[in-house]
Amino acid sequence: MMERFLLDQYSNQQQSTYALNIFTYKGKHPEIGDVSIKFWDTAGQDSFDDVHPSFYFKAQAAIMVFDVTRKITYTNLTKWWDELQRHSPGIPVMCVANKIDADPSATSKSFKFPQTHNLPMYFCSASDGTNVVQIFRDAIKLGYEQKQNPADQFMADVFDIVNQTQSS
Amino acid sequence: MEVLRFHLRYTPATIIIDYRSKDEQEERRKVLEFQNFQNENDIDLLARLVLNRCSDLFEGKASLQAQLVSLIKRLKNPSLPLDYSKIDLNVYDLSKLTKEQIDTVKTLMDDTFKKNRITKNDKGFVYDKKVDFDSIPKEASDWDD
Repeated sequence: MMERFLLDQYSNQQQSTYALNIFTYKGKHPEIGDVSIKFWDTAGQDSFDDVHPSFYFKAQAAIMVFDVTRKITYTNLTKWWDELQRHSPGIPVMCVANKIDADPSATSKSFKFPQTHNLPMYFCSASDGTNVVQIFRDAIKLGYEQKQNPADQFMADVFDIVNQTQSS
Repeated sequence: MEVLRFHLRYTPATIIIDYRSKDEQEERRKVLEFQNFQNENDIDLLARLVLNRCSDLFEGKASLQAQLVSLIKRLKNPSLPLDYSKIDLNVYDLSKLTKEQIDTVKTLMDDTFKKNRITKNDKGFVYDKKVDFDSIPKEASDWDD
């Protein structure tokens, strides 16, 4: 997903450490303007446990992704949610169902996890590009707002977006 | 030609490939014994040797080739915990693996990814490709059962 999003960059810096990739993005957000973002990307393996506290430090938003062809990735979201709430309570979170190119029928399914936690839900394909850019732009916007006003106002915005998503 | 299954034999180091050609019902078997295997550290070279000798089985099949490489690694190091060719990715928790192992499994998954991929150089490429799925009627996923 990251690589698909970064296709508009001439070059992207990527630092790889154990179990973690960090991507730097400098670009124009249609609503915010020039932005400079660091994306921290983990495949979610347990061996990543050691770096978790630094991973969450100063995080402004999170994208939780599962693979619609592998149930285990969906089931594991609960574990990640608990951890996220421990380290970065209150940051905006989005839920993404990836690989819809491999199983298009997933787009006619509703999932309890995002509903339970009031998360905006997206369907995407990193392979053919469907909705990837949209997801990152929305995440950047949520993170930006979180940084501007970390208090209640921003939670209201999140719920606004959730409501828009659910009613549309 | 269609590869049906691989077998490993550790002593002597051997990869056995069961396969079938398109117009035949009968299974055939290739037995590839590696001499001097423990002294050979170049896994990729060994894989290339096999690929050359069985090009009709592996040509153009990226995931099979990746599987072969992982099998040769396993032959080299029997303590590798996982036979990638046998795992059911739908239920196997990859988060228990190391990054290197995940990368190997991912090459196996790459087939679908590459098949459906639209790159910058493809005709229909749109950077911000949006599709609205909210309007599709939803039924509850059985993953929540």
